[in-house]
Amino acid sequence: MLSSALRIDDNPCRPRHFKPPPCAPIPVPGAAGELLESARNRLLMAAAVFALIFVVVAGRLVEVVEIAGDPSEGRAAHRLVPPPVVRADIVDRNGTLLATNLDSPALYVDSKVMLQAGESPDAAAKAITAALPDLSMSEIHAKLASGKSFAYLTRSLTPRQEYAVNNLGIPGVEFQPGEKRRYPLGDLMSHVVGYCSIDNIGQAGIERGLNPKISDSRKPVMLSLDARVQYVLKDELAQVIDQFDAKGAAGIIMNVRTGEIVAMVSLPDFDPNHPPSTDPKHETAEDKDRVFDKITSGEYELGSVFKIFNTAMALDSGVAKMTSVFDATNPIRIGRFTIEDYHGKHRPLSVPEIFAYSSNIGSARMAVAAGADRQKAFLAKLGLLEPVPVEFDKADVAKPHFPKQWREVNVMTIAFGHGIAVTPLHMITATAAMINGGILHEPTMLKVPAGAKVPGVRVISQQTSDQIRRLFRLVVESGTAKQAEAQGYVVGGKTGTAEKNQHGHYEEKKLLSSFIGAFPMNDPQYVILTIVDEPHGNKQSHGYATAGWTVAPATGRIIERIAPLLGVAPVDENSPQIVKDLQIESLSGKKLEYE
Amino acid sequence: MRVPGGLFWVSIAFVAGIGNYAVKQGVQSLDDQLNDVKRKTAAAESKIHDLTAEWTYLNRPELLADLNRRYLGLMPLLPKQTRNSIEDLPMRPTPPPAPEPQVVAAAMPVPAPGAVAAAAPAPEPATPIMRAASAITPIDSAEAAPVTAAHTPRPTATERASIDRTIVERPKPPTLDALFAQVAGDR
Repeated sequence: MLSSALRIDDNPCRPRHFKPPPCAPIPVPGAAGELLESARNRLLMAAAVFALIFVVVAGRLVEVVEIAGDPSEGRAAHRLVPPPVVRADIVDRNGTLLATNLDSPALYVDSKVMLQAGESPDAAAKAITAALPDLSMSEIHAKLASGKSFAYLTRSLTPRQEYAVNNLGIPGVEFQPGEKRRYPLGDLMSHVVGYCSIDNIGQAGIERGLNPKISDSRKPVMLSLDARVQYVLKDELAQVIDQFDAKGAAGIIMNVRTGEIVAMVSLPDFDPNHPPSTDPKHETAEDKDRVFDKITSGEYELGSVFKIFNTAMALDSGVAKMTSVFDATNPIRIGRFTIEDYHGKHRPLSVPEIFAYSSNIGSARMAVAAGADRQKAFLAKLGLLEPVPVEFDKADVAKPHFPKQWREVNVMTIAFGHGIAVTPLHMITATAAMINGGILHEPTMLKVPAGAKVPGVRVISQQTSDQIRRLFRLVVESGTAKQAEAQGYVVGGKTGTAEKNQHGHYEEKKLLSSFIGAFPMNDPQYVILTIVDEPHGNKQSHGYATAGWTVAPATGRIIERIAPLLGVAPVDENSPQIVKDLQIESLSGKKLEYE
Repeated sequence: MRVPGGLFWVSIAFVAGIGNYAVKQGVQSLDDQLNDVKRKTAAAESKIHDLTAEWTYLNRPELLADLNRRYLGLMPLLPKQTRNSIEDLPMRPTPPPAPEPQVVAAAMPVPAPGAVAAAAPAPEPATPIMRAASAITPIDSAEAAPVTAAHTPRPTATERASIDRTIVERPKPPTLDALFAQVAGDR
């Protein structure tokens, strides 16, 4: 190349950047020249064809590598299993799992495939029912022999069942991936957490109330409940039922400062993993009773525990002072009613005495002194005339029953808790406000983060609340609920024994005994409401089935067991500070006497 | 030497092509790894989920209560068994001081600096708990100074004797059953 360039470039003074023109082939004259020319042309043609091919290959390469997108994405999509249908876990305040979804495949048969494979439906049905004894042989056989390409044999298999069926190796019998809502703690939380339908839709309790929030979410819902406290409450209530041969019982424990529900039990209950049939056609009375949540759906005339609100109203409005005296000498006759006392003293009683002796006459007189408007307004302020605002479905929360016309007789009976029916949840929510310093908090099932400010409405003054605390303590220290005492936890409370209203009249033998207790009374933290339905007196209770003999002792035992779990430190009840905080001056020196 | 332009660009393209291919391959294999890890994570999470459910099931309060009743017999905490603060705890009775502990300390081989402070008896009479603690602490300081590890001061015979004596001298604890019976009786 160099030599030929030199040969043509005959100008030695040419600047270096000045390129010589391409050297033209030197034509070779003659036949040899023609031959050379055609060879050159063929070479050029071949080069052009190869160049074209390389351009196409290069172009395709660029397209595949750079333009056609990331191939790994496509691979990832089909390799990673898509996340299953989700429903958030429900956990208690300590993170204990209360409800979760577990893999639980459904079993179906493609009968066409099975019959084509020459499998005998008889043998297959026999094998399947041997592995899954719950299934009916004839139904399975019908489905296997149907010739249809899809029929569910059963839903939600356990891993063990899945293994057993898979081991049979019957062609055409297949699994369909699925999830099933499971409740590891079984019947411990049945009414609170609720249960789900086979399609994983909440049917009761929190599962129903928070269904929109729980479905399509992966973030666990943390409830305010404590499984351990729940167990203690349930255990003790079950013992009460056992001991007093009762129809049922209910209990609820609430943090008075936040409105958090720490435990909530309604007995009898059910296993949410196998909820009783709620189909109205098949539902038995027993099933109905088990599914029924006494705490939020049950409305009761709770009786004497209502005297808490009556006394608070009278004290807070200034109608009465702790030293005020109301005449309880004679029963009150109004219309066709007669209001009497169980522990009749037949003398004028002061406010603490009315509370401690649970005098209906005194309470009625106190209410009349306050007046109907004030009473109704006070109960409305406590939320006792509206459904409780809680994270349950509206259909699961009962609306209270109260007289449309608030006559004088209603004023009197409502004073001691008759003629108005509220849910136990109403009762405990309002009572919490009576003793926590006078602030009403909405009850909640969701955990309130530590240190969070909980909204509340002031319903009574701090001073009135202090007085109610003293009255609570008085009832346990020397009143109807001495057996509720739990040493070191300064328990206070109020008993209520109501006759059940059946078809418009009160039945003397059918009682609803309740006790609302709180601890420690010098600085209340938790309030407990326990109710037992139709208890019967026994030898230990000397034939009594009243609250003081049934639920009050149970409450004492519950407090003893849960206080360490809830971090409430025991104190010395006789320390001067506590004695001073809880003493009632007008009673000092006097002793309450009971017959 | 001059490199003709065509050859230069071709070689650049070649090198770039190889580089591109290598990076591409690397990314792809990383992607595969990532997917693999993701799949394994999902599988592990699902497994953990199932195990959590099973753990909760096995820790049902009623089952634990039943097991406790059968095998342990533990009782709920009583108010008198709790103290609100560490000051409320009564001290253990002080045992008689160990015979000539100073001599023992002097006779010991030179331990790690930390161990000296810990092992040497405190000037004020130490309670048995503190003494037992001092017998444990040198292990930590031995780790800090491996050279002297061979000389790690264990409680010497005399010291051990004093510990043993304090154990023997304490009132013999009742058997577990007797303790439960006592607690139950108190209730």
